[in-house]
Amino acid sequence: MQIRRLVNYFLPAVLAIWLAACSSPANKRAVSLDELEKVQEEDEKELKRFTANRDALTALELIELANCNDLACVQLFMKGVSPDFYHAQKGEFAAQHRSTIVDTAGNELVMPVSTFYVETSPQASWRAAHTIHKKDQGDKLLQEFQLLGFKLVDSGYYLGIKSIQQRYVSDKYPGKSLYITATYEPWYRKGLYNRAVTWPCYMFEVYKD
Amino acid sequence: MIVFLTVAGYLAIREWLDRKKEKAQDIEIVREAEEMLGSWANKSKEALVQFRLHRDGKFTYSLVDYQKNDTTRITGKYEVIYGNSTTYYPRLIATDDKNDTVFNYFIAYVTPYDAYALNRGYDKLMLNPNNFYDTVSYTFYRVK
Repeated sequence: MQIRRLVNYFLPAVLAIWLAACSSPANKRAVSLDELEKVQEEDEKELKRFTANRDALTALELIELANCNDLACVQLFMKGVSPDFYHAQKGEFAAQHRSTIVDTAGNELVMPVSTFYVETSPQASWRAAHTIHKKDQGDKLLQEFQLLGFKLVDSGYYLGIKSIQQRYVSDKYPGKSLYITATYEPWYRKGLYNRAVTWPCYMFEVYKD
Repeated sequence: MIVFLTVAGYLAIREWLDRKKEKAQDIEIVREAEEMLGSWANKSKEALVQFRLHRDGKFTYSLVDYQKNDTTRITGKYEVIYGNSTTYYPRLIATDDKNDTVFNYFIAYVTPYDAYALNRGYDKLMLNPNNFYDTVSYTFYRVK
């Protein structure tokens, strides 16, 4: 009886241990030095599909986004700019790539260079703004708009936020206005701007008149 | 009790066999929670960087510079420092036999032991010079 038990249970168990012990999945996932370069190249190619190539939207994209009156329309448009931008939360899109932003106190903060937020609070009026956190990137986007014929026409408190906004219009895009604001209060308690904003934000908003 | 003894027996025998195999083949048999051990390499047109984290804390490093046709070899020891905070990556510090630092990098990623989904892929170790997520990192692959 004892011998039968030994043959039936103990020996197969020892054999199973022996077989299992001889293989480590991690060691199996090793590459030979000859193939290393090829594996690296394939890996980089695969990663490129998910890697962001830019930090901000273009002027033309913002002009096109001005046609949207609801979140669904914005979501559909932003799907096309993936993986450069991703949908973080309802109405909050951010650049996938993160950079170091230096705030006014000299602290280095790691965050996306730009965001695109739309107003989703109930009963709030429609607002969609592209916020850039680096001055040079903001200047670049302004230049793009200027190349499209946008000229400064006026400045004032247009959209109910605390900062003064500059209004630009272009003959090439009649019926659309660009509002630019340099502010520390881009949104009231929303997403990335939920706490005190210590870095300057450059906001670009394009709307149909 | 029987289950406990079976598992303990299995693990003991497995470890004994692993050590025997390591000694015979001069490699590291990597198991759970020791994914960093073993040989890692990165190859480019300019150079081949290869290092091995031995089980006993020994560190061997070689750099083949294809442009200068030169090879540098370093032997020393290494340490992985986990720190007190989970917001920081663990840190790999390797020194040569004169106690000069060769590596001082954050370990941003290492392929987990049970990454079955990646079975067809290769183990990767990513070292970052800083602790910032999504910044520059050096990727090394497990080599045979």
